[in-house]
Amino acid sequence: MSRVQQLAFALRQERAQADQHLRSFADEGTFPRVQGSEATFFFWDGGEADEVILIHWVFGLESRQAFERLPGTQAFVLQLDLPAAARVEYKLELVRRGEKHWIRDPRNPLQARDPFGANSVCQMPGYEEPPWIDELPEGQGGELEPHVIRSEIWGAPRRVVVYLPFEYRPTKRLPLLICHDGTDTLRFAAAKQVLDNLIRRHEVRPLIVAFVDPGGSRNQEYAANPLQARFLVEEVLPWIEREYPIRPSPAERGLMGASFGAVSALHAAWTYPGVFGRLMLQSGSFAFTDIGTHDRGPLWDPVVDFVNAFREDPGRVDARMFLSCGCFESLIYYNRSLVPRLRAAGLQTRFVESLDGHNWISWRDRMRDGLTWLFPGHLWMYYE
Amino acid sequence: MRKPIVVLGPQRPTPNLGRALDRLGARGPVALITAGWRHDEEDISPLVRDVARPTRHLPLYAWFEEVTHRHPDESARYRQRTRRVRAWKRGYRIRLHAAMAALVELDELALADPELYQSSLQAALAQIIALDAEVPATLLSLRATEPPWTRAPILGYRERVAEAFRTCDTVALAGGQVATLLNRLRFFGVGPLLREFWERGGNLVAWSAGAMVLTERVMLFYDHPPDGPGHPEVLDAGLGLIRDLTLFPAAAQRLDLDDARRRWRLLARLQGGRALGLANGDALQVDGALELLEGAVLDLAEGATQ
Repeated sequence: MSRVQQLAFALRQERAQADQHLRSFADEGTFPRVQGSEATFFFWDGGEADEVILIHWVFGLESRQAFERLPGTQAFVLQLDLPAAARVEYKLELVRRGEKHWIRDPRNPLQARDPFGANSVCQMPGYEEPPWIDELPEGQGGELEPHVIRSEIWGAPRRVVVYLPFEYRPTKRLPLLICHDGTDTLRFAAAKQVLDNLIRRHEVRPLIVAFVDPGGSRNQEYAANPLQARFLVEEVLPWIEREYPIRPSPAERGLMGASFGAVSALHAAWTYPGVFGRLMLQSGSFAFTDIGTHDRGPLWDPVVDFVNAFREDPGRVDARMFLSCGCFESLIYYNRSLVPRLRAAGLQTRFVESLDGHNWISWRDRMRDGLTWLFPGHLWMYYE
Repeated sequence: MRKPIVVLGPQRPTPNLGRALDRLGARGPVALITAGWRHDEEDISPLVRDVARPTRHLPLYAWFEEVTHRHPDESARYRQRTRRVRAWKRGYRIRLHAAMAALVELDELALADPELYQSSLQAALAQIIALDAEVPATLLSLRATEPPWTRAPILGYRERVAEAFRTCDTVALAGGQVATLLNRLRFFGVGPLLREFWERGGNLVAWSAGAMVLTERVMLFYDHPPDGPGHPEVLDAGLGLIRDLTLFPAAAQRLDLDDARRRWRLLARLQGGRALGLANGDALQVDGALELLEGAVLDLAEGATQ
């Protein structure tokens, strides 16, 4: 008999001691409680509740999973089978007196932050936080220099934060990586800590990273927008080459982005061939159509047009590529489909799948795979 | 009368260089070579503090930049020479990785059925041993004619090294990027000067990459790199002052010591040669025989510290 079955049995047998049984169940630890492939979620806050629903973004699973009420109580449980090493971000929909509230799981201390707030997180056995995300002791990491650059193309200023590695010297030219969604990548994917660690471990070459923010219409700007491509190539790149010692070769110049940011990165590299020789594309929104039209709404029209054109002629990019995507994303189909085409076009491509969704932690966790592929360090050679 | 060479483990987080110098009875100035630190070569103040004696820094990395910048013809000549070396090494790595893949597969088969696969396994191993042996021999022959340090613009720098070695009673060779360090030592012809210094009784202290380059053959290793299978490979011939010994700095971090098969494959490639792992705090005296001065050097063959 599982622990939940034991609890349900006890509640039926000893209704008068329901609170005591629930308290003792709750006090056994935090939730979700994971045993083997089964994760048990538990909600009980003492108040009355009509319904509790688990909201998640796992493509392929019913996105709303109703909890089951424990007999004669205001407590609810849900048991889900999840694969080993999976990581699932979720919220609870609590229905109380007919009103719906989205809340984080009050019994789960594990949370992940994103630009919209925070989610609760369920980690299955086998998932481990990477050891290369910790903050290094003071004086051992790189520096961040904030700038605002004036953009004629957008007719508005844009914020750029430049990462300079620990090894930075004004006299030494370094490779460059331009990153979309700059502030969010620093904030939610711990990009500075990741770079500091990987560079210090010599797994990644010392490089300069320009974290570039979008304007107010991020999705329109990143949706294969020719203005954004021009902005990157004609404004950001010349500016940073003027301000910092950047190596002049395309093989040492990269673009990275996630979601629509990946579309923008690929689009810029495709529109300006020979400029960027390294691309890191995470959970790319690479929707395409083989026949007919798509059903993702008008924002996606330019994306689909571009990805269709790109699929006809991927070799024009001529870059080393890193792609990653979570198996729990609807985008996994598009990303998987793209990889054979890239390889057939002779592009050196590494593709990594994760048991995770469309979120910043998934992108953070794949950074080592991507950066070591695009800018491998001299780890092999260092004996300090 | 030459003295034993003192080999140290990595100097981070707690350096033991100062104690090693005390033990040697070194009193006079210490010549420092930190070319393995590349562009950080000049950041020697912590090292100078540890040495606690007068020092003479020999900035080989910066000198190399200076020479190649001031003498474009020398730079072009050197690049041409390096191109051949690089191409050969690329070929070695391609051949090695194929041979190692075969060795790993045959090792698994031989474990399951030694009678059927042992001879194939031994043949695969022999092929790798021969490949490894090609590296120092071929690279030395590719570089044999007119080494850079015999060229006029470089001779002056070499003389500065020789002069430092005449006035110092200790040479300290720091760790870092081992290929860069070895390359700069060769470029300025430091190897023969170092041997001369040592043979006339100078103290020689080296750690990590610095110690690796003093051996006969430098082996690169890291069992689980972010990319690739992590098969150890021979980088080059070393300067050969330390014989019959292969050094593995930070072995506990870089090698998967729990993987007995990996360790067997590594040791088999060394054909019974001594293989020692060095950790922070280790100090070893090398003079034909080995004497442990400090720490707990890891003998890879025995899988135990001693």
